[in-house]
Amino acid sequence: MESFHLLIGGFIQVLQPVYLTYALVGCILGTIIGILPGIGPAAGTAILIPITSGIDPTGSIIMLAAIYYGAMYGGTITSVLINTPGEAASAVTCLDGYVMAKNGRAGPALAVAAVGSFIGGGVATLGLIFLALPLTRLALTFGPPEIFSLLLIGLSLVTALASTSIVRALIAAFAGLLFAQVGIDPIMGMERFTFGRLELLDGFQIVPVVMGLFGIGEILLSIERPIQNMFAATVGSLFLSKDDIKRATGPVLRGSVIGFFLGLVPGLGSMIPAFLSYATEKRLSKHPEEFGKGAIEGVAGPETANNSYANAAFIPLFTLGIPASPTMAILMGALMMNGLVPGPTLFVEHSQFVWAIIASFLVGNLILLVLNLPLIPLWVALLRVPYGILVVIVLIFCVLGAYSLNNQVFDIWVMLGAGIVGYLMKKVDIPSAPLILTLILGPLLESTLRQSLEISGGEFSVFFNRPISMTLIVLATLILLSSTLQIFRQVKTDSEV
Amino acid sequence: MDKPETMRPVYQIVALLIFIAGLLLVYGALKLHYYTAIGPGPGFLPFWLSLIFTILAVLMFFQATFAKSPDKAPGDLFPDMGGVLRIATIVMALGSTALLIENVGFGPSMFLMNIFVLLVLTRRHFLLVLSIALIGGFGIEYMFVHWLNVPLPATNFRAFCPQFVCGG
Amino acid sequence: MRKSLLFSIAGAGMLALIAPVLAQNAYPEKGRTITTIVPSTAGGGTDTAARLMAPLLEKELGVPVEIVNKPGASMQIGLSFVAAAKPDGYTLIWSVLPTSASIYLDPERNSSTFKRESLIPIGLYYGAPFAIVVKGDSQYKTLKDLVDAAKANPGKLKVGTSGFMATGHFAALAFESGADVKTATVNFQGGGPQLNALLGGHIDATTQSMGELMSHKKAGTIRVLAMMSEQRDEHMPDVPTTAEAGFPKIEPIGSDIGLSAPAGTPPEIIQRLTEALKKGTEDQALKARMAELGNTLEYKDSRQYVEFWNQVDKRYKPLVEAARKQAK
Repeated sequence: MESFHLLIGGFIQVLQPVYLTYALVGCILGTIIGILPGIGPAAGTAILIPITSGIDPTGSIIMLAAIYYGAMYGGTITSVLINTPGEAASAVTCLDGYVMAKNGRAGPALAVAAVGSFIGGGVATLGLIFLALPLTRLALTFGPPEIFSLLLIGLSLVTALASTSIVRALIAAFAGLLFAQVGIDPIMGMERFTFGRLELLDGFQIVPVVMGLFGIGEILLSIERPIQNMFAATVGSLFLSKDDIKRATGPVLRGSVIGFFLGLVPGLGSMIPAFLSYATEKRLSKHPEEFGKGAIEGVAGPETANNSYANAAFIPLFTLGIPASPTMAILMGALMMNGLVPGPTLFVEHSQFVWAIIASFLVGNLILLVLNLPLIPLWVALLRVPYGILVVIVLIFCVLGAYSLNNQVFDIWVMLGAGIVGYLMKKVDIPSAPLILTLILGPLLESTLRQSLEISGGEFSVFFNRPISMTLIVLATLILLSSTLQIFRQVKTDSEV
Repeated sequence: MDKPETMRPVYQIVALLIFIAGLLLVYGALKLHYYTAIGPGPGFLPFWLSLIFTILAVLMFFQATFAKSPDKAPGDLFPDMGGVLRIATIVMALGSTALLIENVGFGPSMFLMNIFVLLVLTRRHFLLVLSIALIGGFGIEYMFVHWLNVPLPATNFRAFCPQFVCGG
Repeated sequence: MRKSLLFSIAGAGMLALIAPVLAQNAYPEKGRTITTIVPSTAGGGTDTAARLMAPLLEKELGVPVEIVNKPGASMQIGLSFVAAAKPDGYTLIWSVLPTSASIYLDPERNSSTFKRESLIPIGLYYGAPFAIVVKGDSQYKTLKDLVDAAKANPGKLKVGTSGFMATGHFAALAFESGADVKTATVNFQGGGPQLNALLGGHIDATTQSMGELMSHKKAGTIRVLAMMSEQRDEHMPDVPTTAEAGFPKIEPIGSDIGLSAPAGTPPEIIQRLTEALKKGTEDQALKARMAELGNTLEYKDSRQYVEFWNQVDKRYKPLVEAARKQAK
């Protein structure tokens, strides 16, 4: 109950016009940053830290946090409209969101993402308010072996991203894992497949690869024929129908939970929750064949999950001073620059500040919803920009985003290369989504495997004599077995070998 | 190349390419340290992954070869001449932007890319093309550098000027 | 009319000839921006400290001082970028030791273009001393407890670091050799997972800088067994140094951050920057902030910084070799 009182105090503070303005400005800036392909939440908050430096600590953190979750939502818009994720977490939204836009259903896609984000953000913030401490303890039980086993579940779900042929999906998945091998290995610190390029020592950056495979690849594909508009001439209803709401409810609720729990585990990043939510929805769905062809569940689940993740990631930051993602590390830096050191004493020493920030999450998520629903018709109208001009706009922002990610030209080359690869993969019907998922999972899998073995002194039993890890491995095995059965069934019907 | 009736030859060729790439990767992986005192070394995953990758290619080849009802090739499997040109334009435009951006700056390189792409892709009035290119190049540079503090490579017109005229 | 035009052209030509000479006297030129590269990600310790110093340098030098993050490849990306930059004083780097030194000290890293002589040190800014840390309710109350446990079970005590060849890794190795024990080193990928594993009890101890841990120390969720430095930290007077805790052979380890310029930068410019950095480190507000971050301001001028750097080279060479040996 005590936290409830403190929360009310927080609300009283946040509802002052000054702080409301900061939250509003943050949401707007964040949405813009999210829309720009490549400039994701991490780069965006880093860029805008100087802008907030003139403001008092509470105001500046309110604004930076708003920029952060604003960017998480903004990324959806370009995923849906032009198949170019504004930030990595929205990559999975492209799979169904862009198809929906092509079918004239951009409106409902954006609406469900906005509502889902709001609910996901809200659920995560409520979790932060009432369950922060017990959840923190739960998160701490996740050591390297548990994270490794969790990643195995992600890997076992990869076939859910297959479109027509399981073999081709697996080829994409293994290509992703192989690409993930590039760089300094986490075991002996040796260079692997780097061809003497310094830029490759840390491996491929996800964002330029994603922008290339999806965004540039799609552009190359669309200009094969004389330029025409890519989108359905008639735009259907802009908002959600009853049927949409019915179909989206389950994914939104499950997405909130998935995003929330993964937000507590440090080092996973925002893309894995979105992918897990997508795969879960496809597996649970009564009509999995609609996924990839414009299923609203495929937008609702991941979008909710990534926003729930975004808000939940504040829990380890506030309670333990552990930044769960790069963006959180930047926000932690901002907090420390303002003299607020995150960690167990934050709630005690700066309780007024913390509760004001927490209250601002709820307010900010509401602002985001109110801000974005009326904007949907405007975004949809953007699709009527002549396609040739749209292409140029996309290219400008892709270059801008790829370059400013690490301020290096190399990432533009990576994006271009990934674009060509993405185009060719589309031509021969190899799906690119499994490649991205495994490219993200690969390095984490290898380093957590190594850390687990370093902990156990080389005993593989470390994965089986820890209850959580064991449970996760059993789960992964079950998923793998059931999809193997599915593969055999499919191989039989699809090629009749 | 004539357009094939089915995807069979396409899949076969792709499978073959993947197979070759896989073999090269297996070879590359063999040169890495395979195992350490407490577990897999840097060469462990590359070896197994590329081996499975190669096997998958074989599987893909057989599946394509022995499929009784192979996928029909879509009508637009190969782009027409104009399409190839447009694709080459975009690829070249992006490539030259990457080459130029740190020498001449964000504004000019983007301006050139925009003009180039717009002229090839659309048939718009020259003034419209010019204004989009200006806004998309210099306008964006100004906005991001001055309003958002993004450190983009600054416009440097001297880079256009030959060295013997303007000096180093 | 035409004559005056001619004159002005001639005048402009003359100016252009004199300009380089003038420019040196007038460094930094009005209207230009000094770009300082942070070779790690935004939000990290170096970045935060650099962003606190930048406005002070601006005030001293009268021109904008911009921070650009060029992270990657254990700082090699940023270092090679600055090493190749024009030595005109407008591109500088926040150089981090020992990470920068480990690049050329490590024989396995052959793709690097960065060498010891690629940079001229301008001045040292601050140091982040490393500590040996256990969980708050750990059975190890003193450094001696920890060493005894490591001796009783060689290779079993799990010591976490923030990454392979990160400063913490060198600290773990210095602990091993200085206390003459054998531990199991667990190299995480970043400070977040490392701290999570310590607090979750997945590892026994960590070697790390105190920046992120001040709050935990106050709350009692961690216990700092010893500082790996020559003197006690004035903000944690209760924590002994490794020598005071009975292990004088453990080498002091810390991360030290300064400002450096590309080789070939004129000495006048270096001098000007050194002075500006010195003034900056005297700022009272900065001192307070840095203390909260667990950092120690330790200004050194260009010459002292060079000496300091040479010592780092000497001290870390065996540790880099030990890290390589451990991996095999």
